[in-house]
Amino acid sequence: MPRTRALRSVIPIAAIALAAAACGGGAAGSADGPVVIGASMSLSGSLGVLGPPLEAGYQQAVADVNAAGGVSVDGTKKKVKLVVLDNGSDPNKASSQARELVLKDQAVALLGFTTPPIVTPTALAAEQQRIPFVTSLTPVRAFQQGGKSGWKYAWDLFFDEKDQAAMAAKALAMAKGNKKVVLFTDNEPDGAMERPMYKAAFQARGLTVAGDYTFPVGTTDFSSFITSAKAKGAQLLAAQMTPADGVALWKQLRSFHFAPQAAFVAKASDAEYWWETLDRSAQGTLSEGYWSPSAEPASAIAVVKKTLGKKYGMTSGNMAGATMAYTAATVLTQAITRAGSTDPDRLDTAIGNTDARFPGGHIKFDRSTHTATTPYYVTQWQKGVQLQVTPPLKGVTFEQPTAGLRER
Amino acid sequence: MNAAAVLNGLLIGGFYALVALGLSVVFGVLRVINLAHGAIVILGAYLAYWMSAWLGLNAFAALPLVFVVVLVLGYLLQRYLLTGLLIRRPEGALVATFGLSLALGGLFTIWSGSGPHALRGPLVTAGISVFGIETRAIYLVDFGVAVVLAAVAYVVLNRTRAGAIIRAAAADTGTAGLMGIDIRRVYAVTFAVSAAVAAITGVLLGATFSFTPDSSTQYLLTGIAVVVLGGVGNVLGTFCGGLLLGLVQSVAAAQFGGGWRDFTVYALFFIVLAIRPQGVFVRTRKVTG
Repeated sequence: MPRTRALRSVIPIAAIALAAAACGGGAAGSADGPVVIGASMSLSGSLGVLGPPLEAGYQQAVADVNAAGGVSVDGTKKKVKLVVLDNGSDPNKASSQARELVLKDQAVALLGFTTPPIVTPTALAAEQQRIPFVTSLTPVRAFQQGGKSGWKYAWDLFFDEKDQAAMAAKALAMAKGNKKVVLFTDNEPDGAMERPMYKAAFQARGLTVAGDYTFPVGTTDFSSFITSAKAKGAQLLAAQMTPADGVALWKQLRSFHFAPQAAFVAKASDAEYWWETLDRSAQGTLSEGYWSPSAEPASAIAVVKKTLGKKYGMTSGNMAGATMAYTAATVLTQAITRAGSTDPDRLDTAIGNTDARFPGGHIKFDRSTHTATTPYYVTQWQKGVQLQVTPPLKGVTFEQPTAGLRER
Repeated sequence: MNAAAVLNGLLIGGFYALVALGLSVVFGVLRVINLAHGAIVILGAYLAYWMSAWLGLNAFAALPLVFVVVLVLGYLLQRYLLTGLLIRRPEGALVATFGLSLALGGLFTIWSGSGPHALRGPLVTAGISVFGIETRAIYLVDFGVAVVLAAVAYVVLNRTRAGAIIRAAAADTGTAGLMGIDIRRVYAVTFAVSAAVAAITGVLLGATFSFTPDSSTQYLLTGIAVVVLGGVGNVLGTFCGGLLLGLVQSVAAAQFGGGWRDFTVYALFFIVLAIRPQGVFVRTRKVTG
């Protein structure tokens, strides 16, 4: 009797354990089903404006690999299924969704989004689940800083913040005037990290930092800083801030008649809404570019030109984002085929061995930092489009002074 | 002290007072914190933006239309949803306003995306000199609208029969009801006018700065800070609270750097809560034996 009772009590526990074993182990996936890749993306909330082009890039990459038959796993071709969840720009939600994608949707790998506040918690969740994670659109030093004890399964391909600061300084140094620059940076992690880099890069280019203004995200009034910048006689401006704050700053620069020879703003100005919101005031703004179709071989970008290029236009900021996302997804799917498996460790090794040209550039990871550095460009808003000005591009003129801020 | 920081701080303070005006009146009369207040401010900005896109109206031409639309919406919302909840349990209305805030945020995103928007119009990027100090023309417009609306609200609440009815309803709904005052109507009208003023503030916000669907929280918090400084339901106190907030923010940023802007505001907020929870600008009567 006691033995029967003991057996009865063991049966439910065994059943639960078996069910858990069947449901868990997301990396194993379903034997017959497609290979699932998950992505927690900000399609709404403060970063939501950046979401659609990145999602389009991922979807296009998956569509292209499926059109070519899918990925090779254990000697058979399998289709890829992309599961996208909207994290509403909430880092906590991004982290919990990463777990959900692995445990519930049985994703064998995850793709990231953009900016350290979203990418870092997602990557940390992937590390906890021991699932490979590939992202772009997060500057590599911020990515490294996010993995305090080093990354094992998470990989990032994007520009280096030092290159960004150096290119911004190079562009500003090309402008005429007294070489005095004022720097506006918000207190987000990337702003705090890049502020000293900008200052060092400006000094290296012979520019004098006449004003250094920092402020919390959500600052609406910049009048005291602009008045100070004018009083110091600065003729150059560099800024790194969120889109909403950047728009507010630009309106106030005009109101206070502060029209620098050249004005660079990172993060706020690299998508279409900069022109849509500010219209002619945006003319001449120096912005950032992390992908240039002219810098890549025609054969490498042909695959995105006919799809994403038609949708966004080859030189747009949205196209750059979509292309980098396409590249991250393609790095992952090609690694699955090279590994011939969805086993996390084999897949992770294959990702780390990536050394090939993609639409977003040549990707070769540094195994110690888990990053691949891609080039950085400075662009300029001219009549509604962003044109590459640094490094200089044939046929593109660097317009100065900043016409949009000078117009009355 | 930096004269430009003082002037710009006071002018922006007028805008903050405008943000808080409706919140203060609703809190004072209905005894409920309208958690949808920030979203209603942003609704005003989006309505003007949509009117600009669809009808070609600039920010200032859209103002009267936005006022009327939100006045009607506010009346219907309070009359047929919030008052019923409020009479049953005040927490119900509080939760409902929070839900409304989330719903409006979702609508803004669906219709116009998550990116920043700004309104166009005359004076939006114009500069002006006041006493030899450079400032923005739109700051003067905001300040002027704040002065006018605060004065109108003060006169209506303190010098008219309608104001007496509202004050009676705020003081004691039971007795006011027995005196024949239609409490539901008073609540609906108060909420509707407060919402319409918030929407006007949103139009000015869109012209002055920029906005996204997520801006609601920022302006709700600004409104609450001003109400705490100025005193609940006190129109003149709210106006002065706005000026104080703008001044402290601007001077702190100019003197100590932008990083101190929020710290000084919240420090002031907690000091006032601790020392004068009734608000800086509320007179306390001495009780004599």
